[in-house]
Amino acid sequence: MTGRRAFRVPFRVAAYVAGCLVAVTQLSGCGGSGHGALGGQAHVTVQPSQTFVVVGSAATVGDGLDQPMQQVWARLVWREAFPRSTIFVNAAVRDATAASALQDQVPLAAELHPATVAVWLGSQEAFDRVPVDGFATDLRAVLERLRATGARVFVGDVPQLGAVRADAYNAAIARVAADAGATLVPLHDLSVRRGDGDPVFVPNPAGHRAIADAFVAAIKGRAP
Amino acid sequence: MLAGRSVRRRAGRALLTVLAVALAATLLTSLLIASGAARSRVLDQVSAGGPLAGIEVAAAKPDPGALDSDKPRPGPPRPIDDAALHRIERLPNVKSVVPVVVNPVVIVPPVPAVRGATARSAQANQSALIRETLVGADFSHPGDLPVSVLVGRLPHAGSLTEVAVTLGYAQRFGLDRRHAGAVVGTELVIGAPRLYSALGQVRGRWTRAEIVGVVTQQAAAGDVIAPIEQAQLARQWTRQGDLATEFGVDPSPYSALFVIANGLGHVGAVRQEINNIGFSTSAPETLIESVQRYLHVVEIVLTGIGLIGLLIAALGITNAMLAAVRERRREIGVLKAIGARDRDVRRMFLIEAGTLGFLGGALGSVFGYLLARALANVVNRYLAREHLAAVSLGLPVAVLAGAIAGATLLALVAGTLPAQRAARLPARQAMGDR
Amino acid sequence: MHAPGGVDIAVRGLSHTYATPDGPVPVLEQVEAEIAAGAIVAVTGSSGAGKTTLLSVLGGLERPQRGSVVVGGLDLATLRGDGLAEYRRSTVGFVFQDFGLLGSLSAQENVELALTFAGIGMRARARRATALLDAVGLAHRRSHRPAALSGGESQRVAIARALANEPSLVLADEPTGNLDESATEAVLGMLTALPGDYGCTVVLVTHNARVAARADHRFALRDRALLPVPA
Repeated sequence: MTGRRAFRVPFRVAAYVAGCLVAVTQLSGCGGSGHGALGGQAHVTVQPSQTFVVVGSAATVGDGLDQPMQQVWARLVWREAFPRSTIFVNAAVRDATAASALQDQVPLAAELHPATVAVWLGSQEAFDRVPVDGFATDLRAVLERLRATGARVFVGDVPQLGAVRADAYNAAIARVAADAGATLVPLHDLSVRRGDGDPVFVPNPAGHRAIADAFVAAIKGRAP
Repeated sequence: MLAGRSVRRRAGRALLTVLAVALAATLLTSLLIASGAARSRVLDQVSAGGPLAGIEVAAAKPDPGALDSDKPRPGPPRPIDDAALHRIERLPNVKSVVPVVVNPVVIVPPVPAVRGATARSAQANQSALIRETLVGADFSHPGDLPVSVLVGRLPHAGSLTEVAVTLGYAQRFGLDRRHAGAVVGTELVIGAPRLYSALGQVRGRWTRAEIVGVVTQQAAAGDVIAPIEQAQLARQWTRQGDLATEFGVDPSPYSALFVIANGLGHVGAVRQEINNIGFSTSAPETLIESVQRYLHVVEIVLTGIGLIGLLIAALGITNAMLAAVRERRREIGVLKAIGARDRDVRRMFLIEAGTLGFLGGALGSVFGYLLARALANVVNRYLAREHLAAVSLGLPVAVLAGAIAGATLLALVAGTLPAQRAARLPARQAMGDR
Repeated sequence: MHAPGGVDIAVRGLSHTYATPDGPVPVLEQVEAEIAAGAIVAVTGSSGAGKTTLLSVLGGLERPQRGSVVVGGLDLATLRGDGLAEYRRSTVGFVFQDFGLLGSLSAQENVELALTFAGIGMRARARRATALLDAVGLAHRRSHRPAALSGGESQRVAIARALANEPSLVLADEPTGNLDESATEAVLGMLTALPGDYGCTVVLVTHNARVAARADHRFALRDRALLPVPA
């Protein structure tokens, strides 16, 4: 009697397993149709992005740096002051002056409808001792045309150049920036003190770091 | 009723018989499921993860005679515009068309270097820009793309800040397949070039993107894969510069199309149609066909092994039921004495055999599926270690149902001889042997 | 339903031989018998005398090899295969010494099984089986399996099964051989009441003289011949 009951168990197990199998196959039918619903049209939205343009000369191109792509100040500002979605165009041209920038750089910047433009000009003019008035006129044109695109414009002045005095240029930059509605980024105190001569700014990685810090602070609205 | 009770009465032997059938069915189903999964895996590999029925359309006129070959042999350039795209979309048996845009870019080596990158490769890459090709495709229907994810995921459709890279990118940092995942989560700085010949200068349009996955792809030659919008914006920038063609940017709005036919059988015809419209095509159809032939041979061998198992199980059924007939001579006699005809007895034993076969088949297909799953788990763990895409089994209902039906049918055939012998037993057995 | 008293049986010149490895062994030779409808007949004889063979032939389990057996006007020598099965099913009810119940089925199912082969519907089967078990006094044991029944109860289930298809001939092979005193009495009582209650002719094989004494007519199988035993 007990022996027979014991034998009946495997039979029930087998029947149960068969039942489960039927259930599983039915479930798979449901799963199949469910999967079809998942394969529907996906909605694509292109996320908004803004553009950051830099106008400048040799130092802004990255001349003198071992790794310009990693170390140039403009790139540091782009990475540190803007969200990842920001597009960056470095319009700087070696040996650029305010006058040449008006030809070579400003049209490109305007084409891109940038949200932010950083401008660093004047060192070339200071070295060449170009008359300040002419420089001021050209810079004013640069800033006004950039402002006309609707961009926020940040203008850096000229750091310490050793024997070369840049005070007059810096005064002009401050005045023109104020007139054009651009934000002045003061760089005139940036320098490294050499043993005997006048203090001078050196465009090495540390120098670029310092310039970038000043621009980032200005763009983010902090005091340097 | 009686057949079921008889199975139950001799449950010990019935269980052994059922287990034999189950074992054979297990073998057969797991082999079939595994070979089915292997088939799709191998074909995936052959088609580089893309749909098997994929056709690459180049922005070029067809080269006469190229239709018979898998390799692209494009003729002179011919732009693919929206009109051409829509014309191809409307061809018969075209399931989908995915436009592809490529653009040359440079990428800035990441600082700090990618974790796990070998010292030599990292150093070599710190100073120099890396020349790359940005491949843009529409990610809104990832299933239609000739792309398969090895690590991470694909970029979201329309994203301007996400990209995927190929193993080739990882290899630049000395990362092999196993360690390619280290690049996921790092940032890529991508620059599209624009030449200003008057200034003697190339200006970049720079974007930053996070690497969200490592993939294999055959949409176009290139190691950085992005949503098509990224590639289109990059291309627009480069094309407006001087000598854009020198950078490899042709005037075609789309660099290529990836066309998916309604099944492998239509690939040839769709290729022919696209060639007639005037574009060069390529597809791995010849390769896939020959691989399929080899896989078919493997399947036949595996099925053969499973069938031999079932045959042995069937002999087991015959043997067990012959023993049952011998043991139940008296019972069969009594059945005949109370009016059972030969065919009633035969039917009883056939039902009994069928029940054993069905239970064995059902049990076996469940076990077989579980076994295949277990095997797939082991294989997938290995594949995951190797940073390869996993194998997916799905629920092969046809194989499972086929195993049950096959086992039942085989059991019926195996039960024919014992059933016949039982039916032929003289009714005199009711009186016992004398 | 039935002619009162069941079928009459005429056996003429029946001979039967078994083939064995040692050559043919004759079991019955020129057996002659007349059994009136509704009679209760006992056949006695020593073991191996051919009692069971005679019963097999009468019940259509074997075809008569030589001679003729006519049951209720039906010559069994003319039947074969399904014809014999039909005869067994519709005309004959068997009662075996070891009851011949199927151990995997309940008492009720054992009785119903006989009706299944007659192609009777499920409801009708259940009704008839219930009534028969009731009649043999086993209504309360319907769902029990043979292993749970006593010998007497099992034989009563077997009698109920034998009566399922309303037979006109009931053949009982040592029906009390495995039963104790009181069970023997109960079973005998039922068997002897069959002609009156169910309209059957009853042939029972026994070597129990007391059982044989309850029959209307007695035959003895001796030296392969069937001889009437005077009362």
